[in-house]
Amino acid sequence: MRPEFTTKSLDYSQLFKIANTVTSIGIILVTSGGSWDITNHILNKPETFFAPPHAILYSGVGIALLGFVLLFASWQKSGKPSQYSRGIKIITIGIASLLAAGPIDFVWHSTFGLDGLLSPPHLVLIAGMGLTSIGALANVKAFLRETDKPNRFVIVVSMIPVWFSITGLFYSFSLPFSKTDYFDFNPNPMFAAGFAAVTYPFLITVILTSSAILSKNRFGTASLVGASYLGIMTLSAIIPNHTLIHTIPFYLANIIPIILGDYVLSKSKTSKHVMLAGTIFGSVFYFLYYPLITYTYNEVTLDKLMWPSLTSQIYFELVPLVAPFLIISGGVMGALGVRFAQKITS
Amino acid sequence: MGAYFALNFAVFPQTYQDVPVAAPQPSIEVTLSTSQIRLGESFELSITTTNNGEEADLQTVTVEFPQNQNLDNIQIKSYDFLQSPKLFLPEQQIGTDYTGGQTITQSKYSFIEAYNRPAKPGLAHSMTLQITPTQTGVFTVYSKTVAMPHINNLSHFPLDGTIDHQNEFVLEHTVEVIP
Repeated sequence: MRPEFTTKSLDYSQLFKIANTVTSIGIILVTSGGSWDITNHILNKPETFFAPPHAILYSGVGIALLGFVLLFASWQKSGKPSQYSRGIKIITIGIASLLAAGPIDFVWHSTFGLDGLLSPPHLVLIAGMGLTSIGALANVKAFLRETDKPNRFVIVVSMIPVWFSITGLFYSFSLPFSKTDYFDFNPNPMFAAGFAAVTYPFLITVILTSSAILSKNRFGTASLVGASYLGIMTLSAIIPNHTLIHTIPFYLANIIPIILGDYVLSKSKTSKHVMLAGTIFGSVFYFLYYPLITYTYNEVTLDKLMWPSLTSQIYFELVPLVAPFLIISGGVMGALGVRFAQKITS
Repeated sequence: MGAYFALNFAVFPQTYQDVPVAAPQPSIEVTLSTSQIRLGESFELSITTTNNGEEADLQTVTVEFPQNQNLDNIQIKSYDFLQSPKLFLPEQQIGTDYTGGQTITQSKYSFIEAYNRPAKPGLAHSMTLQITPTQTGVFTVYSKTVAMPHINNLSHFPLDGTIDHQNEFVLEHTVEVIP
């Protein structure tokens, strides 16, 4: 007697959602590895490609690529639904940039040796991370239109890589890590300080407010996104520098304004409440972007020689000098960020 | 938010600024293979460093050749520092006064800088150089180590002695080169 096989057709729409999440997870690994790599470069001078942060970074590229292949295949098999076309296009350009960044980086290293944070190959890499994660987020936004109960996990996983990728771009224009033997791409210190004061609070607010709006203002989603950000930064930027470990309680206390802003958003009935939440998020950017922000504001104030073991000392010395002004400017940018978040999530 | 800002303006800065900064205490030991050679012969200089204090972000060990305009007659025979050595020739921009590059001058002669980043306490790192003087007379070599951040006078070694082109203290070693 011949065995009978029952075939169950693959649910391509489900596979599409899983692949989209896998793509975002890949970019989370890329950005986390990148953040750890920055810390590694501050602490020592790695002279080999085979460093643990690079392993995480390139594993992330592999996972994002796998996610993209599954995503594209499932999109085609499910009849190329038009609501995902834009997301797919953005991810395709992003993945192409990610893959192109490797050879460009190799050529750059071969020609000019060690490169700084801001360099053409790094910009290609950051563009790849940013576009891939934004494309995946666009797909999530399309999923969420079809459901009344948004999946928090999916929102958190799609928001975090966008936050880190754009932060990477903003770091490039605000941190003095781009001077090499061949080029000095370091931003002007005054420009860097102004740029950070405008862009960081705007970004924080857009990410956290969008997370809340996408989850239909359910309390907890923005807090989870914020907690994930703090967790990844603690693991990749604080713990590797043992002289900063004792400052972890300070850093984790940043969950307080995030939870508060999230709560305000969940109860918001008027646009004033939403603006208030944005102001809360934006006003704390100097504390959320610890420890690297120390380099930006030290340059325009104390101008001390920065050593990894002196980072927290200089950071807290800067608090009374710059934080009062940055809280105000951050609050204003946060209020503007809310408007932008409402626009892109509508 | 009031409690949060109170923590960030009053409690945390006070708490963390009172934490003492780690103070490294580097030292070096130098041995010469001989004190006299004939012109054309070589001698070896071995330098071993340790950090007897707390971890430093960076520790450099410098071997200078005040009679040399280049490093053609110097060979690195062994080297186990964490990072590759840097070679300096005259008229290059170099840091001075233990400031880690905040004040700079031009180098007057050639030198080799070995370095560890970071420099963990208790570990020994060595470098051996083979040197072939090109003239008869007294051949002089300087050596020193500096840890960064430069917290106090114990962050460099030697603590006193001859001053080099970086306005920093060095040990002086000589080998007599006879015809």
